[in-house]
Amino acid sequence: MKKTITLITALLITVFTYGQTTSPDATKPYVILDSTYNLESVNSSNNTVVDIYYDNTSGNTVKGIQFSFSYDKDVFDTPIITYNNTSGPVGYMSTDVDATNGIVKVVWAYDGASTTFDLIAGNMFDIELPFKSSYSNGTVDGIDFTNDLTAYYAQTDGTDAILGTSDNGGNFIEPAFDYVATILNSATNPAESIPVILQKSADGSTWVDVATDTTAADGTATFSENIDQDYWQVRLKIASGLDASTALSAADANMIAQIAAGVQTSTGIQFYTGNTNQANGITVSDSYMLFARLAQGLSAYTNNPDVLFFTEAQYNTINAATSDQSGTISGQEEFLSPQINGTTAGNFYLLVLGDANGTGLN
Amino acid sequence: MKKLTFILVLISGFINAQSPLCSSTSTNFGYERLNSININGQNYIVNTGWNGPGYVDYTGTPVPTITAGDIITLNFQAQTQGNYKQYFKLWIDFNGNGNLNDVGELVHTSNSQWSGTRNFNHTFTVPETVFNGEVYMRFIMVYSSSPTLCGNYSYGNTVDFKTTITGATDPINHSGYVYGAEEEPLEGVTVQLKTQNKNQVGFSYNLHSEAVTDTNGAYSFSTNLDYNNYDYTIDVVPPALSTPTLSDVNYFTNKLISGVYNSKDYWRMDVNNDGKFSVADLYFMLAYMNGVVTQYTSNTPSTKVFHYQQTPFDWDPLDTDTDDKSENFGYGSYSLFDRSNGDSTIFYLIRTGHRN
Repeated sequence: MKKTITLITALLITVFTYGQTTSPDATKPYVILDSTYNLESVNSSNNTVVDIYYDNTSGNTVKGIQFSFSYDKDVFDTPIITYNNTSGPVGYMSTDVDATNGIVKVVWAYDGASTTFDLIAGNMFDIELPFKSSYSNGTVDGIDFTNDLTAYYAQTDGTDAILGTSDNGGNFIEPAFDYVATILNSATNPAESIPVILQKSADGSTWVDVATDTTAADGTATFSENIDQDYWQVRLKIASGLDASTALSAADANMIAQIAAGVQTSTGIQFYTGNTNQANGITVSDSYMLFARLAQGLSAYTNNPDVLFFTEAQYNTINAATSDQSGTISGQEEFLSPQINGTTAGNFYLLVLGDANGTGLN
Repeated sequence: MKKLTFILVLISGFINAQSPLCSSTSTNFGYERLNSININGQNYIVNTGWNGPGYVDYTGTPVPTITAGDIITLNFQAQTQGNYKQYFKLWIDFNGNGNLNDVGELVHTSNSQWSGTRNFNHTFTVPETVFNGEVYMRFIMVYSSSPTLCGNYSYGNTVDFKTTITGATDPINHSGYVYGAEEEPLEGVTVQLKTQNKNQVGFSYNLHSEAVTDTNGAYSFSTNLDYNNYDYTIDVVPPALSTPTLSDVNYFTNKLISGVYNSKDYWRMDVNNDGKFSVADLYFMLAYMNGVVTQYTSNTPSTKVFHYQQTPFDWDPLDTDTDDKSENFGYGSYSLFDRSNGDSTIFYLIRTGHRN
């Protein structure tokens, strides 16, 4: 069974990009199903459209064809089959839909007066598939050719011969979801090599990972997936436990000590980066804690994370502040973004505890 | 003149229904009439007054059965109001062909002039060469001139009868219908009656006559050949291959995509004669309709099966079953042998490329 909704692999994406709509061989004429078809969003007023192609490199003249295919009767209402007028004149066409079993039979024959007509290759039929009102989301079986009506083609002498059926998949993929997340240390300092996870959830409670991308030098993680945003809730996740040792130095510890001593005034950001123990504001304890880590060559604090994550709005608030905002904006050790449905890009910030001079995680 | 006196009275006298014979009646009343007539012992009252009617149909009260060779009594009573001469005739359609003017069918002719009421007693002999079966009879009394079989005359009476003749010979008669595969009438189909002498060894039937089916698909044959001396066959001349209609194509397409067939479909749908139905058959029909081809395959007959109703019925399984019977039934038979005389037949034609 072709279950197309769940994981869309890179291979499938590649296949879809190029399509498979030509004869697999020259032994006979073919009707052809592409590898994938775009599933409409559940809330769309448009019907999902499947193109059925015809191709013939056999050299045999074709006057008409007949074949049958199945569709997911639990997902789709009665299909509408349309001849695209690209394979010749309007012709004589008849279809039969067995909605109970999800079977469609198609007969097309040339009905003109030309003795030389030969069916022209191309996107011959459109199959419009309306969603059933009861359908919300879930597994959608792909389109398959069947033997309910034996696939034949009509030859010039009025005899029939076997029509090939080339099924390259016929699978459905949900609407494209493209998103670029940019992870930043500051507005001008992107965070590189941060693993960003794209997640989806049907109920907002149970989330599944869809894809992971690691930020590039410009801080971007790029996602191009097939997720119906009208159904799924979508968010980003960055796991806790990042090691930000590279951002920490004795200079940071000295700066924290100076802030604690009142030699320097803390910026809004430094109320977070200077408060390594995340308690009681910036004190000598924070400086000591960093010195101790550096001296011992530790890769993490004992009871505190290396990194806190913030949304862009939170970061801007913090950055513009002259006082400690941690009472209201605590930051996240494990970053779970707000829903990103309906957006195509977003900036997210991280601050490294102890990185008072703003080196950043790179 | 008496001829002008009762014009208004006579008009009210045209009240009798007409038998299948040609019309015949007097147009004036009041001076002579046929009071009653008795044929072969059966008495019929005709006129008891002077106001007509001029025509009386007694075919619903048959004359007792007449046996060939018998002498039949013909008695009648006529009445005049003056010394007027009357002529009398009786015809019997011995060969049952609806024409009473055939030789030998005028069985009585007489005339007499008198005044008042007079009884006449006659007989006639039924020839032994006549045919068995129901036949019509006509008696006419006419003032002053010899009666003719059909048409109006001034004074007198016409009476029609029907009787049955036995003890004679049996004329070959046959009727029937020609239907299409959907049991709807086929008009314009030629049907042939062929005969051969019963003494003939083997089959050497000669064409006797042809009939063409009417809008109801009906045909009939009436002959003067004695069934006791002749065998006959009824042959249907297969209609030439004809152009299907879009309705035919639609009908067969629905069959194809529904996959629900009757046994008869294995003949009428399979125009390319390859033993199955497909888009190729539909294309071929469309090609024929559009003049792309002028025939299907060289071995595709115009009418693949021709069946007839007998016991057991050949047609019924083709009409109701769903399997391919072409192996057993082949192309059917165009000829119908050994029929009982006078029976009726229904022929079913399955025409290639046609629903009906």
